[in-house]
Amino acid sequence: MMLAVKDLVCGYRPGVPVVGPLSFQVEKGEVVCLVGPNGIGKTTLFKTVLGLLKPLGGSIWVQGRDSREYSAKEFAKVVAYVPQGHIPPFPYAVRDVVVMGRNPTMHELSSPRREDFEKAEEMLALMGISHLADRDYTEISGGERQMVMIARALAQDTNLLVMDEPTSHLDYGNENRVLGQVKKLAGLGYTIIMITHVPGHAFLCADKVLAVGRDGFFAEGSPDAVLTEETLSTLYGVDIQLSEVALRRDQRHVKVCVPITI
Amino acid sequence: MVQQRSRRTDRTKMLLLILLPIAVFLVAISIGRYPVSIDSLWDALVSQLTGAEMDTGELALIRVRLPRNLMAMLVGAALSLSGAVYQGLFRNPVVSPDLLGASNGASFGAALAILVGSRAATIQLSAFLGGIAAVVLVAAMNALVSKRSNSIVNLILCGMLVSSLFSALVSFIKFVADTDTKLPAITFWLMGSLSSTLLSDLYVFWLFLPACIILLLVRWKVNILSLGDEEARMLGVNVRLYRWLIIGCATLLTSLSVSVSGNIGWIGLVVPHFARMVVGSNYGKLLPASMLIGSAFLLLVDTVARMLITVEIPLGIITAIIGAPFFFFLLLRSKRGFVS
Repeated sequence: MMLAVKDLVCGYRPGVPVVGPLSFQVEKGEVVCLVGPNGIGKTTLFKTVLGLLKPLGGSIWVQGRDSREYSAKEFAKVVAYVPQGHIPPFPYAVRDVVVMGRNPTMHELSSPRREDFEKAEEMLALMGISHLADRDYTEISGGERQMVMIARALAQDTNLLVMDEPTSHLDYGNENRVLGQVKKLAGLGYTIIMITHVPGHAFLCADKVLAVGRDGFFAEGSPDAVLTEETLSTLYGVDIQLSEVALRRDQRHVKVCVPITI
Repeated sequence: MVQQRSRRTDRTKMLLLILLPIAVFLVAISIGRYPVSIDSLWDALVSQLTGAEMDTGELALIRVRLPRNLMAMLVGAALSLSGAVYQGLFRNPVVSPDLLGASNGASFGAALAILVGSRAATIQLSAFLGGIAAVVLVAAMNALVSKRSNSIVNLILCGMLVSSLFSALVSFIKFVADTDTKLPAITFWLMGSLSSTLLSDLYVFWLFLPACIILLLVRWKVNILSLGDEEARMLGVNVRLYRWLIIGCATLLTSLSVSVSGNIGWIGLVVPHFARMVVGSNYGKLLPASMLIGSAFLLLVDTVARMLITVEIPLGIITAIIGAPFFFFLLLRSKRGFVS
């Protein structure tokens, strides 16, 4: 088991829980989507699982070990975080950004060596962005930045990837290219947990869905079991109809969400 | 291929950057009221070491010009290094090493010592302790404010508070100081000068050295720290440890610099940007480059200060006159502006 969360209560101040108590598990190789409306505490839950916030109650187990026992460096050796691709204050080269992912495996006072740069190149190639290696990270597009963030997480050499809305602020093409990479990584055996604002993404790539809603609503299960028309409509407060589309390429069927706003 | 070529240009750049302060030094040491050739510098050094008799020119060289030039390089390197790491640590390109009040604290220490009529050595010590005290105060206030949320904004705000507090205290000392003797001494001291540097003052090198070495050792980590606390932590960096290590070293360097040379602004802000133009943003190269450029720059400024007119011009005035237009040039040149 990669991750086990038991009776976890999250929040910024003691006595003021934002979300929880909730429990769930993530098995090795699973792709898990966390869905729910704005302001419900998805990010708070994420930050708590990542150790950036102290839990108000309950416990988090990463690879069978209580997460409180991990140092920052040890944690970064088993969990890689993919933030939203924001812009740093200085124009670092893409190669230099990706090689930062090697930090947990390096000695405290050393700089990256040749093998660290080789690893970075390898991950850039895996994400299909080798041509960006010498560009400034501040000058590339939002979609490319997201790919760089994923490459950096891969350079950490962990099995578990935690992604914070990897497709937000991206145009339609980039959104689906990033999603395609997520599926590709899942195929390579990575365990992925991601927040998504688009429930349809869960049908496209998730093995499991965690749905967080108002009034303590929490559901865990396969996308088909959790994301019913009724649950989706309650979660987001708009009528949502599900439909199945038969893909022309192969015989698969894909579920899509259609919001009924008129 | 491309990478090999860029690595070769990188090496050439570093070599040129190492030669830069040496070249400026050779020029600076040979010009002045007693112009000397490089040969006589060698003779003077030999006489100093062997204890042989020296003529007036040699004495001026060894006792006055050499320590002054070396101190200029030391202070220039220290302020530029501190400025560069602060810009990364505080994720802000317009930050300078006085952000957490080290300079104003040191100024207060010096002004107080001058007010009570201390000797030069006591003024130095008082300035140094003032700078350290200001940042310790900031750290203590930050600890009280940041019990739960450990945000860097709190730290910057505490720095601003303490900085302006000490600035007000300096004004108060100037206000009560004797206008014929003490006030001019304080004012001149605060504007920055290396004219009274003695050979014996160079002992501070041994305090500069460990702080510089530590900052150079952790230089690659500054890249990661500049992405923000949360990201740095998720990349396995012990943020709190590195933050205070860096603040400690930068405070030591800044307080020492102010204590031996007074308040010299702009260097810590401008030199790192100049270095970025030459070697790029990666702190692995940026920190050594900032030190080399900073040492050459302050030596150049100090040479101008003693050569331009018959009286010494305070260094702070010249660095500001050069620094402000240069910063404007950077603003014009930058593609996205500084604060985007």
